[in-house]
Amino acid sequence: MCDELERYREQEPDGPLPASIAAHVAACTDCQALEADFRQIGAAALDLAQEEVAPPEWLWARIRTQLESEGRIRESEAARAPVSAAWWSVFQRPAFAGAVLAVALVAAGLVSVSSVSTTRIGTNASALLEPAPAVTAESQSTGSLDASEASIESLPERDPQVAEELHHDLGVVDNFIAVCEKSVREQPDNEMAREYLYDAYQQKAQLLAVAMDRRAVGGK
Amino acid sequence: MSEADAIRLAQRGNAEAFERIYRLHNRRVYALCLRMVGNTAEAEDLTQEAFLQLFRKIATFRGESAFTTWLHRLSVNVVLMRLRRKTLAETSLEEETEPDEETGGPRKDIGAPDLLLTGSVDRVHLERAITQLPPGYKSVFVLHDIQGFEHNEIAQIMNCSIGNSKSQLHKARMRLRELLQETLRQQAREKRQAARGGLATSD
Repeated sequence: MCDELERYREQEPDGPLPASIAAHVAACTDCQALEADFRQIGAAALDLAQEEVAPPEWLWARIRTQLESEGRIRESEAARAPVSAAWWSVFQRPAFAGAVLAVALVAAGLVSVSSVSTTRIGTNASALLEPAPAVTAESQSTGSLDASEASIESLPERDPQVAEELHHDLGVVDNFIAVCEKSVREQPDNEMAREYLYDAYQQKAQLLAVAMDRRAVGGK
Repeated sequence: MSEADAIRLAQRGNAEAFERIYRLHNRRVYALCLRMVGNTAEAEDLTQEAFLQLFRKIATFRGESAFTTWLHRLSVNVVLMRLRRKTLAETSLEEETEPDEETGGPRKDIGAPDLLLTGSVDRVHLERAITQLPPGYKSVFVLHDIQGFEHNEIAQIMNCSIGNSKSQLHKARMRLRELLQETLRQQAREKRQAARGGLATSD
């Protein structure tokens, strides 16, 4: 009967025993010892499984170096793409409505400043509303915003610190506009690049609108 | 990045994808190698080799089997190849204890019944005993009892039948039992000798 237990376990190492074999095991100390020892071995194996083992950190570096030397690793798309393109991967929202808002804000803020500037903004508003294939439309819009910005230089500011922050923020936005314009020039068919450029104009328009509001308050 | 995306990107040579796959599986592969060879330096070497082979062949992975199964098959093969190239000592042990993996019948001398293991088996003893198992038994025992693979998965990894996987597991456990009983006998001998030595000095 001990052989039967062995033969059964060879086919089914785990799990319950058939009734006949179980009855034998209940009456046989050798077979009981065998089953008990198997349970002990299983428990110690589970204990081993819980042990945290991990290869050293440098192992990945070695593997990567070897793969690079074999030419199996290519740099990621993000690493190859120009820095400006990385901006586009972060944002996924259209900016056409924002561009319209930007025009509206700038136009509203410039009514009391200069009729010349307003005219130029108004002329270019329709260009911004449609996706212009060439950079020239954006350049005209930029020119209009620049005119607005120039008019701010003469705005009285009761708080010099706010003025400094405003100029700093405008500098940041201008840099962003420059990056986006460069991308649009390099890839004129890239709609995403064009959207980010409009978005940049929007941000500048909003800043200018804030400045106009302060001027209006300060002018009282 | 999901594993499926990482595999797809790694097939195109994407660096981040390679690393993602490595981070997902390195511990399990390393644990398998370590249990099989018993020392960290060799386990690191084998882990590196397993992943290099994986990344060299990843373009051929078509998804017919689970990626984990495929990776572990590769890892086990890397380990077995290394073990087969090892020296005489291990080869002799294999021949001695595994006369015929396919048709060898159950051993009759299954160890002294009066040396119950109950309470005596800890993971240190077991780890040492595992290193003395023949490679085939070792693979199945490590994959099933330690790493938790089912017999159908082991059959795919080891390229054998489910029945063979079960049979090998039983034989592995029987052999481990013998090895652990031998360890107990050795410890009992040493205790007796120590006790005799103590008596001699006190006389």
